[in-house]
Amino acid sequence: MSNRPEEDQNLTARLRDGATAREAFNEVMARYSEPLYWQIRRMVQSHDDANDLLQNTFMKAWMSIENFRGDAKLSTWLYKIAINEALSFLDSERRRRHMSLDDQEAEIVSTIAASPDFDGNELARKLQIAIATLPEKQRLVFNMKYFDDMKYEDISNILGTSVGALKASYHLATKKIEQYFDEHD
Amino acid sequence: MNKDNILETARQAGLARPDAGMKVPAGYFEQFALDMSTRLPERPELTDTTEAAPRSLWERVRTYVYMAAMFAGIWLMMQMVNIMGGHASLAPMDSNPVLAEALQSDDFMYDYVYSDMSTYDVLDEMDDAGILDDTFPIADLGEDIIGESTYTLPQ
Repeated sequence: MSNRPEEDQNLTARLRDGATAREAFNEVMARYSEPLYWQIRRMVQSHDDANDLLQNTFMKAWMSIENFRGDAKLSTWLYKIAINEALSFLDSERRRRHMSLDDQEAEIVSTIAASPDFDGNELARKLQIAIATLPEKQRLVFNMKYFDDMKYEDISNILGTSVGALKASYHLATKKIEQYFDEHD
Repeated sequence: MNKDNILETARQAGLARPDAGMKVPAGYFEQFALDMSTRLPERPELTDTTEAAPRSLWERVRTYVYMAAMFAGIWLMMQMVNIMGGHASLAPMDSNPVLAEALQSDDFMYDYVYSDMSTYDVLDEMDDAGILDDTFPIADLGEDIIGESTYTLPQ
């Protein structure tokens, strides 16, 4: 999440001006491509899929830039699009390949276990696998809180869930991860 | 490894970063933004500041014409209902043959239309028509005919 609200305000103003919109959007992509990429990547694991989804995210944002009124944070708007893209992708993959949620979870785990794009140590790999076993919503909440250190209020705006429910979801996620480590010692 | 608080252990190991344990091709993010900026389609409508074309006369009055047509239709429909219900209004006088014939008859006019005219009114009409002059024996008519009013010929 952006920690530069003043710069975001300036960017938002330029995005809403047709004469400067394109130039400002290039800055948006330069600033947000990395955090959005990691958010997507932690959901789909594959770099190629994350790359495609990131492109879709920015394309959709650009094609509907006039709908961004500046009422919400620029980052919130972009995260919403990115997460919708990632969840839609996982859903369509399940349908296309007639997979259950459990099947897909198993595939993500095997992707992490064998991926050449994974360069962490054993603890990092095990943590990723434990996170992959979480339900989608809990995984999203956990990623945003633990890896991106987002505030619950920001996560609430992105996911449209109450802060209380998010805290409960994060707590459950941490318990499940600890349980996974206990069971896979 | 402290299994009781594995997440804190991972954090201390520097794994609580968005990119922890994953890698991307070198220079990926810089190249991504550059490539993407060339792939975005043009949006001329965002910079199009030309004003909308002025509306034609027909476009401006169209609503009123439609409303007038609608009311005319309703009026026509009500007339039709009146006619079919036997309550049709009378035709105008000038197109009514009975009335036209009556109005052309002098007897009808004198007997029914002019019957309440006084002698004074008749003299006044005659004077307007230029029939009266100094030779007309107005004084001979007597008060019983012209009443108490005194008619004075115009000078």
